[in-house]
Amino acid sequence: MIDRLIPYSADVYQGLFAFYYLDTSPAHLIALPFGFVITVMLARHSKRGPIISRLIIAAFWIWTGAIFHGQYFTDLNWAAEYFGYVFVGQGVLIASHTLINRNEICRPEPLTRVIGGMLVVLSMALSPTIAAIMETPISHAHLFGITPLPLIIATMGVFVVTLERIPPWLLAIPVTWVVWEILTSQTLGLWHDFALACVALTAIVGSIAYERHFRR
Amino acid sequence: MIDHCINRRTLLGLLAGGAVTAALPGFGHAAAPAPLMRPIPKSGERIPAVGMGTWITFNVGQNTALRDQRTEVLRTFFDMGGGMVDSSPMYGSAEDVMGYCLERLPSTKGLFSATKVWTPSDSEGVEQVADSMRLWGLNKFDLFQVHNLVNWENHLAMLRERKQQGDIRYIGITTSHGGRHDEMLRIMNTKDIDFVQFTYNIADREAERRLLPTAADKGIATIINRPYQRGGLISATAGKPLPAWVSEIGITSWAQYLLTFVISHPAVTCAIPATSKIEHMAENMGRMAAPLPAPKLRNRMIQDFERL
Repeated sequence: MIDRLIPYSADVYQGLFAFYYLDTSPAHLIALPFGFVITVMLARHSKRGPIISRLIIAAFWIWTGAIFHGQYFTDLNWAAEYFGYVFVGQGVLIASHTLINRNEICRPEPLTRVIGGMLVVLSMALSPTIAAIMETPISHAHLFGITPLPLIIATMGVFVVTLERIPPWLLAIPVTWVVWEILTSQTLGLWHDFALACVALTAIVGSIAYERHFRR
Repeated sequence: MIDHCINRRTLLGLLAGGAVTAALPGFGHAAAPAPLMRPIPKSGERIPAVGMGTWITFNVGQNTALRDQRTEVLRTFFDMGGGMVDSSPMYGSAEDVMGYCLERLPSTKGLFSATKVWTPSDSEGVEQVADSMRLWGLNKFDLFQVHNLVNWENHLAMLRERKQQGDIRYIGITTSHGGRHDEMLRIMNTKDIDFVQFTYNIADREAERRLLPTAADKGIATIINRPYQRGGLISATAGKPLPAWVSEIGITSWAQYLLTFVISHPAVTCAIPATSKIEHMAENMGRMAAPLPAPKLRNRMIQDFERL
């Protein structure tokens, strides 16, 4: 059933990433330092750190929606235009929520900071690592900040550290996208993407469980 | 089965010469010329019985290497007598890629351009017709269809108007995956359309029950999508031995077996398998020069397939 919604082949989809990175270069390189900035901000207590890290994440959602979906993925999939709107919408939601609640202070315990920081580092390193292990070209990897799955993992890392309670409406789009990625990657036999999507789903579920049951 | 009438060498000799095998027992209606052409009932125009689809295979985005490779696939298609090329705005970049390929071929003689309108919006339907002409680089289309019956009433009216203006030669409707047959039948019985497109293959023969007989009865040309069930039938037959008797009608692979089954139905006008490989295209097109099995042998094909 799901194959009716996927009008492209696995190799063409992977090729899209290579073309996207090449065409938007050096965006993938510029995104990386932002990842390190976020990691440092999550590790240290400061008033502006949580706001800045969430605004960076919001900007990445807007970029991924407008550029990855709206300019590139739309070549292969008519629905990408709508995915683009949804991603931009998520970015606007995160930014709005951040600015509206900018005076709220969250004081996470060290363990929470470690978990959040690890998720951000994971979002930067996981896909290239999987590519290396599976001996697939690095250009097929999903790179930090400018592609959906690493962005979702990083978003959960930032949320778990900077929000006392993650609003469920900020999770609807990440959850929906991860489920879509799991289904499509399985259908296309893209096991790299499947593994990444499973990690993203684990990050979401784990962050919620941690927040609800372990965090005080 | 037919060895007692004619030996293999003689038969192959006849086939190699593109000869007709009408005299062979079991090949009742095998008197088809090479390549196999089928008439469009509404006009009598004849088109090759094997065309090509573009779902997934021609949706390669901006990748120049893949676009050039698809150009070679299309070249093989035309070189081997191909005609109908079917696409849709739903297929991502497929129409854009088709335009790229057509522009690079020295000759597209025989092209029978077919695409679709696929939107719930009336105004977008008009835009899609213009977009398809621009993307393919054509100022006239042979066939425009309403994809999956989406907003079919209004789109058919619009397409009929364009047909009267001379921008489109034929109009039609499509479904796939065996869906919405009742609605399709209702349209076939009440509206003046030239083509219908639906799924038919050796594993999904629902169309034999009502769609194909109605099309024959109403004089509507038929396009068959998913003759290999998106490769599923190829996978299902992989590694399995071909029935020995099919070599007598020139079938040497399961792909040929499956395609032959589809195009040998008398009410089928054109099957549109999709492929991104030159060798597979050559294999598909090669079937048009081979004899077709008569009804008895078609039944045997079903039985042998179901025994797998």
